[in-house]
Amino acid sequence: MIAAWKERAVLALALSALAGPAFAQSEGGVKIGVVAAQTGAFVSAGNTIGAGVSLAVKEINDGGGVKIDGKTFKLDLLNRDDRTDVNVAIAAGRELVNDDNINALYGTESHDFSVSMTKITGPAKVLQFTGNSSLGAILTEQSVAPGGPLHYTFQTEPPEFQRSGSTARGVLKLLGKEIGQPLKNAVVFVADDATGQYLSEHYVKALEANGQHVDLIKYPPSTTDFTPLLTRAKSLNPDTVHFWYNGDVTLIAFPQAVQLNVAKGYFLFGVDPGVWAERKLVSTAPVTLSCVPMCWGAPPSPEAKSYFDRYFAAGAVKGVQSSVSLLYYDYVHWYAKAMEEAGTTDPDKVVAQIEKMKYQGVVSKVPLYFDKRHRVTFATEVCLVKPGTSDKFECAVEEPPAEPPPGDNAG
Amino acid sequence: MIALEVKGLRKTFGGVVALDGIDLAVGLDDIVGIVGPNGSGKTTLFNVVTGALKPSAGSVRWLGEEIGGMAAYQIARKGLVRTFQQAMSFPALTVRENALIAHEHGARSGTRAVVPDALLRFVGLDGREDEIAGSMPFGNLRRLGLALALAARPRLLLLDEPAAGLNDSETEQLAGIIRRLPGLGVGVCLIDHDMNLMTSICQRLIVLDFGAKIAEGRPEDVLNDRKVMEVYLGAPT
Amino acid sequence: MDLAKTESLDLPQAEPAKGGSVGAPRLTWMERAIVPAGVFLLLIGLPWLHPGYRLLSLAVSTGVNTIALCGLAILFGQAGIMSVGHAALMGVGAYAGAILARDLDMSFWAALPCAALLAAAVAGLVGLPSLRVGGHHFVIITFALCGLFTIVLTNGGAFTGAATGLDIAPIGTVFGVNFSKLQNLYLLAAAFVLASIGLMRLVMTSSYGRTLRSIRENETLAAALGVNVGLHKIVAFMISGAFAGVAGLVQVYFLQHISPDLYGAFPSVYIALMVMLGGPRMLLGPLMGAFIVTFLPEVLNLDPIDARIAYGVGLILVILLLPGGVMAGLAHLYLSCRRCVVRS
Repeated sequence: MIAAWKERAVLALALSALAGPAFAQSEGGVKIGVVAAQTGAFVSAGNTIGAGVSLAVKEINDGGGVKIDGKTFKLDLLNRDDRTDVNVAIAAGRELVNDDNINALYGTESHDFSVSMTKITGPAKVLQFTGNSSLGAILTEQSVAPGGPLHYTFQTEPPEFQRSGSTARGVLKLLGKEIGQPLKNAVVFVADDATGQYLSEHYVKALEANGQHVDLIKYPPSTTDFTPLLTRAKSLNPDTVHFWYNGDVTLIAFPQAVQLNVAKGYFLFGVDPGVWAERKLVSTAPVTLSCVPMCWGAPPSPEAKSYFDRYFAAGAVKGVQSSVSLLYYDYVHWYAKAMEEAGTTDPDKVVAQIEKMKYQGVVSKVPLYFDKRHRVTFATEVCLVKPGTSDKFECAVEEPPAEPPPGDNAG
Repeated sequence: MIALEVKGLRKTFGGVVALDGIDLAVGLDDIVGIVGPNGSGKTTLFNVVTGALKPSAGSVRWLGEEIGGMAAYQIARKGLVRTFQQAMSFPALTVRENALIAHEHGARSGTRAVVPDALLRFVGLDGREDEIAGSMPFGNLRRLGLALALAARPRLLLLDEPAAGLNDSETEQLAGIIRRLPGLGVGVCLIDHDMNLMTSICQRLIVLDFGAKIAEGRPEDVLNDRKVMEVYLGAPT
Repeated sequence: MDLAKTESLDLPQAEPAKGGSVGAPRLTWMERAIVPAGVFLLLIGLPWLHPGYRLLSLAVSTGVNTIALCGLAILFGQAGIMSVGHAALMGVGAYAGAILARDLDMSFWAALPCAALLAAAVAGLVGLPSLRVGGHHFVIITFALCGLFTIVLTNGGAFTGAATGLDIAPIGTVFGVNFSKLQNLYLLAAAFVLASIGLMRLVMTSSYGRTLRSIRENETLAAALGVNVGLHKIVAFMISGAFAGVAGLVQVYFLQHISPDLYGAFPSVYIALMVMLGGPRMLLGPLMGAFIVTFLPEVLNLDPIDARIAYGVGLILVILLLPGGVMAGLAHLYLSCRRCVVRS
């Protein structure tokens, strides 16, 4: 009795999985997959990818679809939640690549998962657009060459030294002007995990390249009371305190810092001016914010503004990382354009086309291109919040440095 | 032949003196009884001798070897086995499994191994080999405790209040079992409060008070000793 | 002592036992064999049922956990010692595999004994000072082990890959079998699962298992009867560590990328949860526990927060109502149904 019960249940499970799509690539469409953390710890980043991609897919399909070699193909979007769990992410990757036979995958933003995912997309010749720190180490000229394991993988965000470089320069310029004194001492707060370690390496060097003396304070990722660390920071007499990664935690630490009057000016990574205004935050000290790539709360160009209007109108959440969606939006359009120009959906030809292209998207005033390591370059927007206000911003778009600063491995 | 020889054994816990220089000798043919008021150190004596506690001073010699400070399991394997005041068993295991554990881990050399089932029959638990130990009533647990100690192939058995909680007829059965042990090659040293039991089976009685030996000798002599009577009944007016 | 000399003693019968027996329900040999046989057939035959890549991938994840859980079942189910450090021991196996592949060009098969032995050695080192303290303290120490392990990995520089972690190439083709195909990798994992369950059963039914159970049931009595409790506890911990090390090795070759977060305190708590949910003393307990935790959120499409609430509630229910875990509960259910059928 029990045996039969159990058998039936497991068989039902197996059959229900069978009921999912398991056929070869259909003629009627180009399949695009998204794997992201739509629930779980990384949800603030994860939600944005799907929203950006689906907006682009809708626009392309509304315009008739992708025109390849005289035929028109609609884009099929398959969206999977990885629940911030590596096993689910891998399973979703397998499902999309091996069961659903997608042509391209967008995601994830969670570091380990992306790397494990490339082991699935690479052998299946599925293009993967993903952006996170761990990729920087493994994207080399050899690994992205034809036949290499990462030939079909593209990093959606610039090398960290570039983002750090433009952010550091922009922040120091804006704060220096507002505070009215030369800035010498900086303290950087970063979470002691993979992303934090990676980011801080480059940002510290970028600040030093801009003439700062830097002290680095690492906190356990689950910290909620920053007072002991902030007190230590204060004893170092900083002109500026920089909170790097992540946006949600930063907004917990920052008020504590202002209360303790730790520094003359602050930088908050991962907090968009839009979030600042939404939550009606106010600070007596000058605060700078940066966005990757552009701030949805203070869009620097009419194209960006129009994008964010459409993005939020489609129902997307106004989160700290909503600006990340813009990247994925551009990359979907770029992929479609590459297929049209190459005249085929064949992955090798499309990759070769992308490598040759310069794409004018919304993200950047100048056309985007992928370098020899499949990494992209674009500027970072930095904004200063006028002290005492919730919605008065002064923003500038900072171009990245061409060369990494001394001691930086250009990762 | 003296098997267990305790000389000047002291045990202190912080400032409290639990054993105050005890001397004791037990042979493999003996049945020796230890009595005394509560708190006189009887169980502590067993604990130190069998390695559950370390001695503070003095010596414990078993078959000529100094065992003071050795681990409990090592001492048990040398043939010096004790039972506990509480009815101890391995509750979730069957009676037979309980016995097999003692059989496997008990003394290695010397005595011929006895099949556990025979021991269970000896204590009157035959037919109950497959029962779960934890579900048995108190009286049977006591029998099991004794069977386990025997299954560990002891040469000397230290029984800690084996009659506690038993009624008269059960106590009589227990006495019958204990009387037979020296004839089977197992000496016995037991603690108890049941004076009838003690006088009927012990050849020699030792009286402890406040961790010290205050009398030793034949049961009828010891129990009529004035000091002993004072300790139990209070000083004469 | 020589009982051959005894005449039979005329002792009145001992009192009859009260109430029902505690412990595993009594099933016939056939009944005991049929469910495991069915499960094992399903396990091996899964790829031929065309389950789809998603299910197969989740099945491999389940298998990895099951291997480690069999070790934990020996430690907790048999010896009664709870550890929430088993993710760290899996990590030892995983990182050993990755580092040996990178620095010494060792294949999966060559790394297998190394991963098991290294994890067992780490367990021994941790167990030596800590197993002599009581069970509650030991649990906390194993919890701290995970934290320590994560810190060591994160600060290990290029050797451990620091916070970014390490990559590994797939197993490739061995004896004509291409393990880059998910179906073959699954069968490899399934083979390890079956071997783990088999080994676990071997321990459970052997006299060694009985010795461990005696430690679980009454440590003081065990020592008083000659059981070297201290040694056996450490050895049991080391054995469970070896299982975890193997699980970690299979995992690293499955994910092909590992990092410190995978082996922290949180995953360890999940592993302990799995073994308690499934049933730490049952043959299929480890598999059931891993299955529930992997597939419950999958089938019900649960948000991770809801899933954790479900596990917490499930754990409380198991502790209060089903101490033997879900497998024991199913067995009891079957027994009551059988009694109903027999009666009617």
